Amino acid sequence: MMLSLLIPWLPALTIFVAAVVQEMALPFPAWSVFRPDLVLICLFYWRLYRADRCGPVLALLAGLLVDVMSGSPVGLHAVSNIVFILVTGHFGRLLRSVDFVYLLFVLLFFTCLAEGIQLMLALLKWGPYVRWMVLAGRPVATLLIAPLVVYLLVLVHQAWLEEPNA
Amino acid sequence: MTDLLVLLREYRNAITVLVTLLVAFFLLLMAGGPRSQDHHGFREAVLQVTGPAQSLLLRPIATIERFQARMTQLMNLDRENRLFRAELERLRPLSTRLEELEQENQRLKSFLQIQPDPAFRALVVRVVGDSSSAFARSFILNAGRREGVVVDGPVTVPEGLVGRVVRASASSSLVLSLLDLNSRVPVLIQRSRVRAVAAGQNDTLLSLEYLPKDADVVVGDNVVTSGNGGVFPKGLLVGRVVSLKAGEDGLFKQALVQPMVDFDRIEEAHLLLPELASPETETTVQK
Repeated sequence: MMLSLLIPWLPALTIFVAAVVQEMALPFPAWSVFRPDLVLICLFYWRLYRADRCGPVLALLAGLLVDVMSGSPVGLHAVSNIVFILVTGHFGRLLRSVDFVYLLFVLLFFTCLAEGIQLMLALLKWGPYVRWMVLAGRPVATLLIAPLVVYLLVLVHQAWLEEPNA
Repeated sequence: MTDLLVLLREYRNAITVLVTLLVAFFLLLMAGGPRSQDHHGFREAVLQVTGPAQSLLLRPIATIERFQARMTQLMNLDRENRLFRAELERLRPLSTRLEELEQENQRLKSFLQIQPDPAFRALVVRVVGDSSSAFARSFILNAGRREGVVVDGPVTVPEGLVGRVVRASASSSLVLSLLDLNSRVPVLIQRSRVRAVAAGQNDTLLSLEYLPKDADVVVGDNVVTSGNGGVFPKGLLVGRVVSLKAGEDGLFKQALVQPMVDFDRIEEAHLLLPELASPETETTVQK
C-alpha cells in the first residue's frame, strides 16, 4: 500500500537521492573538481522516458535542493535545470530513437549548456568568483558516471515504473 | 470564465514552465552572494531532512573506511612488532649491563660507607676467581704486589671479615677465606669479651676453639676479631654464635659461628694494607 503510493514519486525520490549523494555523501577531495551532476543525469533520463513524472516543477525543486545543499545562490541550479529539461523535452522524440552512446554525448552537451547557464547567471550577478575548474570538470565527470547511473535508473524504471503497454 | 479555463488547460505546460522559471529567477534575484546567509531557515530545514539520508548513504563508506583503517593498523602493528622485537634484541644486553652496573654501584656505595682502620689503607679489589675445592676455600683478587698487597693482609666486605691474603703475585693474590680448614682467626665474644679462635672447617660454619667451658657465651652473641697476633685489626665482625654444646674433653665449650659474610656472593672486597703513613687513603683497582 505504502509502496504503491510511493511509486509515482520514484523519479522525484531518485533525484533527491542523487542530490544528496552528489552534494553531501561523497566528500572526497577529488570530487571537488570532478563532481558529477547526478541530478542532471536523472532529470535527463526521466524527462526522456517518463516525461509525465518529470516536469519543470520537479526540476525547480531539484535545483533549489542542490542550491541549498551546495551553498550556491538559491535559484541558480533551479533556472539551469528548468532550461535543461525544456531542451531535453523539446528533442525528446528524436533523442529516444538515438543510440545510447550518442545520448551520452548529447548529455555532455546539455550538461555544458546547464553549466554555461549557471556561469552566465553567476557572472552577470556576482562577477567572476566562479571556480572554473569545477565548471569544466563537472560535464566530464557527468559523462563518465552516466552509464552507471542510467543503468540503476533503468533497473528502477523496469521494476516499478514500466507502463503495461510500453 | 470557461474560456479562461480552456485556455489555461491548453497552455498548461507553457504556463508551468513560465511560472517555474519566474520563480527561479525571482529567487535568484533575491539571493545574496555565494555562501550568503539568505534563506537561512529554508537551508536549515533542507539540511535537517537530508541529514539522515546522508548518514544512511555514508554508512557503507564509513564501514569501508573503518575496515581500511583497521587493516592499515594491523599492517602497521606487524611492522611495529618486528621493529620493537629488533629493538628489544638490541637493548637486551644493555639492560643486563645496566642491571649489572646498578648492582655494582650499590655494592661500591656500601664499601664507601666503611670506615677503615686508621692503621690500614683500604684497597677496593675485585674477586676474579674462586679456587675453592672440596678441600679448600679460597679465591683470587685482581690486585697483587704491584698494588702493595702483602701476605696476611686482611680482606673484608661491608658485612664483615672475609679472610686473609696467603699468596701475592705481581698482579693478583690468593685469599684464604675464614671457612678454609687452615684458617685461624683470633676472636672475642663482643658482649662478654671472652677470647677464642675461630677455625674454618671447610663448611659453612666456623668453630670456636679454646672457648672455656664456663665462658659467658650465648647463642646469638656477635663474634669479632680480637686483634691478637697483629694480622687482623681489632673489632672486625666475624659472625654470630648459632650453637653451643659441651666439648668432648670436658675442658672447652664447642661453639659454632655463622659467618656474617655470604662467601658465595662476594664480587668486590676491601683489602686492608698496613700503611701507617697515609691511613685515610683508599684506592680502587680497575682491571
